[in-house]
Amino acid sequence: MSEQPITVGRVLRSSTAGFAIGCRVLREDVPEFGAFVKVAQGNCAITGLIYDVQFVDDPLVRQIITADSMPEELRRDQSQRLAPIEISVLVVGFVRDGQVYQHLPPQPPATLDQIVTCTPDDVLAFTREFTFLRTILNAKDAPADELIAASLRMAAAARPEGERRAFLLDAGRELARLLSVDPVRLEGILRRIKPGGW
Amino acid sequence: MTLELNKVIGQVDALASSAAGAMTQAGELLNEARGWLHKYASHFQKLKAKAAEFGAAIPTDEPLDATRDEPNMPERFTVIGADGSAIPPDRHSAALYYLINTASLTYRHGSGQQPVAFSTPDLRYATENLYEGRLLVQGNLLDVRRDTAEIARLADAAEAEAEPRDVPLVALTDGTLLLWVLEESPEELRRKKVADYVRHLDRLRQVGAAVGGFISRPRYPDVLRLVWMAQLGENVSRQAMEDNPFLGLADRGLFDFLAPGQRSACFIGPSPVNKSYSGVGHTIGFFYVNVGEEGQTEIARIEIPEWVYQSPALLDRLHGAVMAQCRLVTPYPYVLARAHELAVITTDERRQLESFIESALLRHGVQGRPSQKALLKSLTGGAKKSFRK
Repeated sequence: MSEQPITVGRVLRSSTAGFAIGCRVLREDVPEFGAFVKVAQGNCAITGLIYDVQFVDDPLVRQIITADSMPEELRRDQSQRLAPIEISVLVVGFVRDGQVYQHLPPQPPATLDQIVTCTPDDVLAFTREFTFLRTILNAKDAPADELIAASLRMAAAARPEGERRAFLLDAGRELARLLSVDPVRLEGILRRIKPGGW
Repeated sequence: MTLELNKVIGQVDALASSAAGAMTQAGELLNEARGWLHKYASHFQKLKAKAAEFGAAIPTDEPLDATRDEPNMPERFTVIGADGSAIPPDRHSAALYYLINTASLTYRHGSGQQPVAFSTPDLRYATENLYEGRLLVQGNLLDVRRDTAEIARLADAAEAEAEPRDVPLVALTDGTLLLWVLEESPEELRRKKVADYVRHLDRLRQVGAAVGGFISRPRYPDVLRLVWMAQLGENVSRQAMEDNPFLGLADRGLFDFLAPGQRSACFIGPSPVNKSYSGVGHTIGFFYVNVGEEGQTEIARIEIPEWVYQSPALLDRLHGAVMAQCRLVTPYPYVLARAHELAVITTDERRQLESFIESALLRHGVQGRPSQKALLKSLTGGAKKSFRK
């Protein structure tokens, strides 16, 4: 996780519950699944989690795949091509005047607003409470279990090493409460966030 | 939807039937023309003056039907491709401007290195940039500016690559080297525009680059006119030239006897604009080359300045480099496909730029609204979408 915010792209479409970002970034910099991102909206910073990254169909690569040989220069050129990418984000809360709110913001971000990655400090501040886990569990389009595990691993990584285990245990307790009626699902998530297991 | 497809189906069938008939007829005509190409092949010296007079391809010092096999290339050589695209001024938009986006890719064959990609947008909005005399820079005027920006980008990239000079350099641009849109322009304007353009050809010559303009699926009839003129002999006249039977046919059909990798003889382009190039030492010539594979002929036209077709070494280097590029992915130079990809401006990007401009105008206290026509088009042209698609 970068100490400085990195620009991910700009809002293509949005609603209060989520938004899609369009960007043309280098492939090596494609943001990760489960990463925390934020977008300024008036005096709020809307916080979300990346849950889907799609490369738009690329006909040139299809042609190259069918070629008999692939010189090193040709292969290396593909990694710097401006591949159009669409990223989907689930909104999990917002920060207003330094105060974290883990519910949906009053307004969605506007088209073309800039999205940046959250810094470790942002992530740490946002994940002091676990209400956002309920938002993820209820998400219709996102792979909720994978997203919870990925975001908790990210949030743990934002903390000093000595605090990570305790953080994940607290998160596990909150999940046990939320999923008390579905022990099989709970076990699946807990396996994915087991301390030392990543 | 306003095109009622069911009403056009009958016409489409007639079109296909007519095209099939025309193809058979074209095959016969091209056979005859090919016969003349071989018959008058050795008359290249004799035909030069008349060809210039009657607007046909002017032979150089090679027999008309000469072919040259694909030359061997050194292990290492560098090919640069450049392309450009433009957003023309739109009086329906919030502000009047034009934008030219130029791009290049430098591909170092045999190096194993990552190619160098570059693109740069140039936004022009000041009145002195938007008008030439009383004419808004759009259409042909903008095309000339874009073509000049492209060749300038090619020269910039070539100069950046020229040191050390031990690797042979080839520079390709997409399309013609002739600013043919100036054909109708006054002599003085034409000379000035061509001077701006050839300044960059000079720069490319200085760094020792073999320059070529790659034209895919060329539709020129220049050599067909030449062989028609040759068989007319003493009976050639303007009227007889106009009465040639090759309407709608192109030289690429004439040269489909070239084996994969082979090029034709070099000729000089008959366009009146070429006179402005000749005066400054950059007469534009061309050859045809089969960039396809066995059983899949694909004839391209490569335009070249005189200092390339007069140098066997530069000519071979260009010929070999074009073939090497056309073998990478498809029978089209990879550097040009990538330069196009880097330069192209999509409708979405154009819309985004328009939106940036409107926001920036607002920040400066200007209510920059699109015209009512543009607004209505945007309302009727797009469908509603949820953020999830």
